Amino acid sequence: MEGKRGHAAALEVRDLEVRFASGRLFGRSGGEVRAVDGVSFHVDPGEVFCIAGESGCGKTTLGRALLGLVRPHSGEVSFSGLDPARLGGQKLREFRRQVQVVFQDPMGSLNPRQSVYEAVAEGVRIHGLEGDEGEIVARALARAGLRPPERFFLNYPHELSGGQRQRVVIAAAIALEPRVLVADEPVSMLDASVRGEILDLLVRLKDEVGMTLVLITHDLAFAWALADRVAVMYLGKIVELGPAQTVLTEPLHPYTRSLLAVAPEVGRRRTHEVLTGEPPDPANIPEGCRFHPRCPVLRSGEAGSQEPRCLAENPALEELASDHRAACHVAAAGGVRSPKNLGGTV
Amino acid sequence: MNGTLLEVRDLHVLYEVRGTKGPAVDGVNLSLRAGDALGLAGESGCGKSTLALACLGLLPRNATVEGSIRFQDTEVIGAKPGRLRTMRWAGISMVFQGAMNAFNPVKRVGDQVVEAILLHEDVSKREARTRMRELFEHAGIAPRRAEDYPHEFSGGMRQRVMIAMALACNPPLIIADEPTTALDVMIQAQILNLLARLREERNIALIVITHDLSVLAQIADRVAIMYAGRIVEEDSASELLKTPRHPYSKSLVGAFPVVGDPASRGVPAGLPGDPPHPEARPPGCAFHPRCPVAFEPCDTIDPVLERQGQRLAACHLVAREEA
Amino acid sequence: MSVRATSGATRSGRAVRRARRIEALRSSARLFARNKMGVAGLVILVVFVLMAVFADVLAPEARLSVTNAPGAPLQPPSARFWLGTDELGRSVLDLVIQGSQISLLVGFLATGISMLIGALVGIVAGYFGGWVDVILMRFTDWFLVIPFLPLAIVLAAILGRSLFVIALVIGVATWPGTARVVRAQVLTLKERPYVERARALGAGHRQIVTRHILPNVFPLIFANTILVVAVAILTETTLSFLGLGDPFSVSWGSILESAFAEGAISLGAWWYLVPPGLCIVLVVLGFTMCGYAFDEILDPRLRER
Repeated sequence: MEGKRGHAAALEVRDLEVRFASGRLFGRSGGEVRAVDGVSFHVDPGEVFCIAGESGCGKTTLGRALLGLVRPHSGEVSFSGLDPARLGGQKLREFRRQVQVVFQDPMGSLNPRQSVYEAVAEGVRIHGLEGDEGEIVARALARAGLRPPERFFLNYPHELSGGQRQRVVIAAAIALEPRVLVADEPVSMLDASVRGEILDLLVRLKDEVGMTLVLITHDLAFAWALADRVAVMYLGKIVELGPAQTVLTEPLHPYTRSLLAVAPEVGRRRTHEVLTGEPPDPANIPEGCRFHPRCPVLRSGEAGSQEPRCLAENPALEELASDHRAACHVAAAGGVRSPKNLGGTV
Repeated sequence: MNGTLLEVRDLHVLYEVRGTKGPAVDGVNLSLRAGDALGLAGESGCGKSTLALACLGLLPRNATVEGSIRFQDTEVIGAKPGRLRTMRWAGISMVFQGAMNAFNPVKRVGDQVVEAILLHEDVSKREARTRMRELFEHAGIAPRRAEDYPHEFSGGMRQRVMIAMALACNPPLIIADEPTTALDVMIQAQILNLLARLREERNIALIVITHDLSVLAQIADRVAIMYAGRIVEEDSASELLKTPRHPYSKSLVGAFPVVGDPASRGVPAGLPGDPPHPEARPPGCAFHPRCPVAFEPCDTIDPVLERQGQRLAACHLVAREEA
Repeated sequence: MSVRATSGATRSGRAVRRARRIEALRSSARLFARNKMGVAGLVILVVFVLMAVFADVLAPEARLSVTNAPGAPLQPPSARFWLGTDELGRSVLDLVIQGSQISLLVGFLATGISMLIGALVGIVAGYFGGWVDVILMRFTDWFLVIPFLPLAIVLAAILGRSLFVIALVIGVATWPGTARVVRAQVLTLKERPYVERARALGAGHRQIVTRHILPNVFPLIFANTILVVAVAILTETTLSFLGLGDPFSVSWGSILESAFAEGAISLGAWWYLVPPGLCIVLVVLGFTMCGYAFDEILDPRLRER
């Protein structure tokens, strides 16, 4: 499958499913949790691809599957032909060099007993990178914004601020010169004022090196600021996918619209159309369209003729506008388009 | 009865760490009336949580407090422990940061709320249970969930129970420290809705402490921005968040992209550097080393908080523009 | 994509590691010195270790001859015999000094066996999980369930009564406790984000265990070691007291055994009973006090707070 620019896509995901066995979970007994339930998309080289959704939607599990940290039930992941689930040993290590990660919790991501130097040098040593180790570490730290790098060599994580810790994590990742960086909520645990710097760093790195950035977040505002394309996930499936510009200003799926309506904004106060019903629980996936119990369109009766389908049939992710896909019977039937202003649900 | 509920005057809080004293709160004035909603914003370490703890008399032993904090007719600083205890929970109650993790994992949620009620009010167990069920309903939680254990509640629900607990004794003032951090947007909206509704129904005053300005946009009437232990700008929420004047406020507000606004495309600008340590306060304006528009007096003269109508700002540039 | 190295001298990785280690040792020593309890504990231990090392000089074998004892039987403390004499006329002080050798030796040896097996089993079971974990844990449970004293008696009967047997018995009896504790800690450590990140960096099992799991589980192992040493020394005392130890060597436990056998209590010969007991208590105390100090050193976060 070719990417948009005619080159091979940097990342391809096809029908990926990740399941967990579960014991009791919120009242349900036994059974499986389908954290990722059939996801397909591709990411072009050098683009910023954002996977957005609430907790429980499976985005973190998807991220882990992309990195090969979790074994999928079925489906495939392909980074230029390499599928982490099918690799082992040396090949897996090569894969790891190409695809790196930044996690959400900067403090948890660093071994409290490892100095900054060690944390960054670890990857360098594992992959046997050429060159003087000390220089590579210093260079990585400097590029991550910790200058002068030598000053930080002997620091321990608890001596650093949240932003600095995240920079160390980023330095450790970019020391390997990866082609793809997967960032799972890289700034949500940082102060609002620090977020800008870290995101700026990621984008700058991407521009300098042509690195591909896969950004996992629940914050649509950052998707707006940074992403080229956005995939909105709900209960393990992608419900809307397309360029950030269009998805976030002209959303097709009712869930995307609700998310946008609820996202707090600094500039004005909004009346909240809060979704009713319990938050998504992957152990308890509804019949038919998995969003239907909370769907405002269904509730308001505007689903019309599509209503029986919403209750019985899981909508497929279809291309409904140029490069803009959504999984919604009503949207597919051409119905209820959103107005340009995001003041409320339709 | 719209008298002043809380009056903080010239508050200084100094922490002693290894021999040196550093001011965490460096001369703060605040006043709150019944039903007001004040937002306190700033980076980590700016003193906002310390300020909240001071109002409740909950500062650690190595803290020196000077100035005056008057809640209703109690002077909090130097008050006797008994007096403070009556004031807390029934006068001011606080929802702490990460409170949703503060539940006892082996006790049922309902029992924990009842325990809190019984500790502060002279009621029978049955009355306490009834009140607990009412509180749950207020918080939008089915009362039958009171029989569940904390791990069976989602994060958002636990936070709502925490807020319900804070209401248990009908306090006129609730202080909420980072009430929506680590919660999804949807849940965040529910929590903010809840707080707003409580304000309306019970005329409860709120102080919401957070680093996330977008939260304040939804709930606060007035916003005060703190930096290095002082308030650097204070204004009505709509004004400050739309047109901040102080350079620090500007950068904080600018850190929040607005979906749909093409100007927000691109990385939100950040502020280089870190806030100063309390013991190492820069001369002149504490913000000047990081300020993009610092000019001559900024590194020598400490700007004073000046009033211009509804707005207070401590900045030479702002003062010059006013003149 | 080549970026120029930052200007100035960037030290080689090895030099930095060495500098860091030296600095770490120095600051640890400084920290330890600051902790009064730790220093006191260390002093106590050093005294006893020196006592054990120089036992043959301080209390020569000749003086402990059964047939040619230097003093009169069961004499209370005097200027010549600071702790009095036993039923054979030997100086109790000499006995206690000599006894320190065995007691400490067996104590340390048993602890070594226990910690080694326990830590290994705990780490392997905790880290690999799955059926490895199940098998190892059932194995551990089996050992936990075996009654200690019958095991000791049986092993002593089969293998003969010697130092080594006692150390082995104690080691075998105590390792399951360590294994369980270590495994529990490893289970939580495994889930930490930094372990996942290390895996994402490409680290293999060996690297993760040595670099991330071990250093973070080590303080727990160390704390456990201290407890086990105390238990080991006490257990050796018990076994010797029960007559399962080497009949030809003197240990604090054997001194107590003799004291009881001779009816020291009814005779009021407190100088025979109290010193060995006191020594055991002091050694255990010394270890515990050191342990508190080490806690602070091993966890960088506990410092300066």
